[in-house]
Amino acid sequence: MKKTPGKADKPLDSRQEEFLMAESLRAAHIGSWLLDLATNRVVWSDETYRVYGLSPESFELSTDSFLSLIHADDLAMMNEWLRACMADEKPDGIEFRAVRPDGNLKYLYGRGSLVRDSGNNPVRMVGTVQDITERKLAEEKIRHLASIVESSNDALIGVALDEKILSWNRGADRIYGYRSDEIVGRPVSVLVPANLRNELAGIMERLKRGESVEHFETSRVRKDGNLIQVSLTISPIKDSSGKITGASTLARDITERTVLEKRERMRVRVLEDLTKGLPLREILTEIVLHIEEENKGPIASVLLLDKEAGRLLLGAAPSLPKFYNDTIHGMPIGQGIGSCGTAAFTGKRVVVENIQTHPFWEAFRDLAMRARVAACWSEPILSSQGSVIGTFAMYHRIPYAPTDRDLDLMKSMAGLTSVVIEHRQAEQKIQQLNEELEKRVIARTAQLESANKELEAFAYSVSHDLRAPLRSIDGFSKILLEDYADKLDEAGRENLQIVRNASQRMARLIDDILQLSRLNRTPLRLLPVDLSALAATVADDLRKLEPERRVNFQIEAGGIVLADGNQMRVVLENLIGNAWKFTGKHPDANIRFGRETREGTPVFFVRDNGVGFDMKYAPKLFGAFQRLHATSEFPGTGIGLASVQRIINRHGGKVWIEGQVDGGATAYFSLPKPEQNHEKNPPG
Amino acid sequence: MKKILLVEDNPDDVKLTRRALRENKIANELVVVSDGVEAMEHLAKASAAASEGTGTLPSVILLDLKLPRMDGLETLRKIRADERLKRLPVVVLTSSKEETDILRSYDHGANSYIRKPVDFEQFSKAVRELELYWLILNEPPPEIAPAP
Repeated sequence: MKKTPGKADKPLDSRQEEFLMAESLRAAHIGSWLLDLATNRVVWSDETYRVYGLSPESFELSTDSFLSLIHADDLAMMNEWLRACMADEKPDGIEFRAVRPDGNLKYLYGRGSLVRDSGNNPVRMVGTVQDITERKLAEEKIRHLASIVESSNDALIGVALDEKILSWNRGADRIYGYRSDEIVGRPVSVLVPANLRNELAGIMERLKRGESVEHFETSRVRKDGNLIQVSLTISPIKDSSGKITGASTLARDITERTVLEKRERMRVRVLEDLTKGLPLREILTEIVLHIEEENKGPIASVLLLDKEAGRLLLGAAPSLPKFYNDTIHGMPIGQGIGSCGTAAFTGKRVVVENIQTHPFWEAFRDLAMRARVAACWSEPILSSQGSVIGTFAMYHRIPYAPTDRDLDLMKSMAGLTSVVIEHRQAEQKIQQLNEELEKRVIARTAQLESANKELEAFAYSVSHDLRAPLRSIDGFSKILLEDYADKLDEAGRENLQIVRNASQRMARLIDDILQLSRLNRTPLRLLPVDLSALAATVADDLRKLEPERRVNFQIEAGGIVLADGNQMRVVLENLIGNAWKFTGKHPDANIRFGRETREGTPVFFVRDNGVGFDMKYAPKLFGAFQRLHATSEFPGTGIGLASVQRIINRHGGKVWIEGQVDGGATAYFSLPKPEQNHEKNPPG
Repeated sequence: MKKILLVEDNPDDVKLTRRALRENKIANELVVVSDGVEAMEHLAKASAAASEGTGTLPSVILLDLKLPRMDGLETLRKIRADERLKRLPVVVLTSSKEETDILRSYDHGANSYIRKPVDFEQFSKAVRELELYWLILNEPPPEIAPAP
């Protein structure tokens, strides 16, 4: 402390005392200060300057400049304290904050007192100031840690080596149900179920050896007697000399987690059973029994809704008496028909806390009494489309209101049963559809087979029976012509010849019709076919039939396709045959078989320079029995092109004819590329 | 004299066949039966007579397919199953040229398949060629050959 000049009102020995005092203060890092009341001058010791982070050279000390150092929030408090000192009220020391020029905040502790002169008049104030920042921060940290411990959701329990509980936080209150003042000092074994006392002994042994126990899952007993699942982490506590003095226990309530894990395992099992094809009743029973086991008390039931009948059917209710289930099975749904009947009808959850007073149960009170159920909450089971397909219900033996957890549980189980029921219904639907489809296929196949058989029988009959009379007509006409030639005149002989021609023509018609019908009955046998070679054979046959005709054939080589050879022969016989026929009156007949490209695809053609036809009749060309010429002019049955079209269509190709009157005609046909044919009809 | 067995239920066709034979100056005996049952009865008797040396089996059987009681295919099957008849030349002579008829006939062991033409001139020609082939050109199995 700086000496105040000219104010020597103390004896020398007291100055010495003052000096010694100042030295000891310096050693303790305590600064001192003085305020002269007469002059309002302030004096600080060097240590005081250090505390504030200032130096005497650069800081002009005054009461005002001192107050400017005080943290704004503490200024009022400081003024009040100074006033109290001045009034000699002898206040306690003051804790306040000061802001140093470097911006650092310091926690300071100040003391002060009033000094009077011999006449008892106040002359100055003296005091000390001390930097308590470190202590403050340490205190704050401890407070912070304590509040963490206190506010933790987990239980933090201190236990002595003799198993007595030393400390108990609010988390422990919550988990175990004991208040701190009820449990501290009692042995920790009160929390351990009787059958697990050995486990506790084992844990204590390990702790004494200095070992920790981490995430140990076990059961504990609450104050209310309920068992809970906890995960424990227990560590030994050592004193400063390293000696083990006790243990800290961190306990986390994993009851709900365990329940949810078990429920999840049940859910997985149920879904597995579903894919394994277990009966619906069995799977629903598994769900119901699990929920009953999990909640220890309520009885669960699943009812299925027969939508068409508007009735509930028993799904699974293994813990309800048979007479009760028998009564419920087939119960109609509707507003006010019990909990489930109403829930199924409205599609909304129905909570009946007391069956004996609730109007929905009026008709079933006696039944419920006999079944010893007093509360029934029912959650509708909704399909993925949102329609009601059943109910999930929970019953209690006593009137009971559901907790939020109960309601969540019912909703969750309604969801699971919905998946189960829908899946099973979908399976049944698929099975049913498959069976129906199979039946339909069998029926259709039978129809087809019988139609085919009829067609075969028809063709058989036509080919055998229709021709025989024609043979008689022709044969006996011939006999008449030969045996009775002398009795017939010219006209008679002519008429008989007409009869013979007609019968032969009809025989050809029958053959052609049979051929056309055969085209549909015989499967295609696709093999590489040389159309050019086939055309040449057909041309040869025609030349042999009518050797007197002069026809110039031009046949391009290389027309190899993948097709049914027999049927392609029919095509070429008809097309080249037509060309042969319609060039019959041409003195210089030309018939050409070749290949060209039309609209990017290769097409084959048979071209002639015969009589041609009017294109307006083109659409009629391919109809069976359609003819453009009189039989007398050009013979034919009108079946040929119909057969050609059927064959080409069956091969996936197209056929058409272009021509003009007296300008010849060209028949075109396309066949799908061999590669495509290969794909559709793999060889072998 | 070689003989022909005609299995035919249609009297018109029988008449036309006879006419064709006559026109072609074929003098071989023509035995006519009108269905498979009669055919088998006749063949049984002929077979017995042949073994006794008192008769002969037909050199060729002209067999219609569509017959009352026992049809042509069944008759053919029976002939081929009979130890004494199985080598008899059988020509199916019928109206049909349905592929199934042709295939089945050969499958059952027919030696030939002829379709009866509607045109009598062609019918007559067919009969002539049949006779030429089966009665003259063809070498029958030894048991049919008349006893020397």
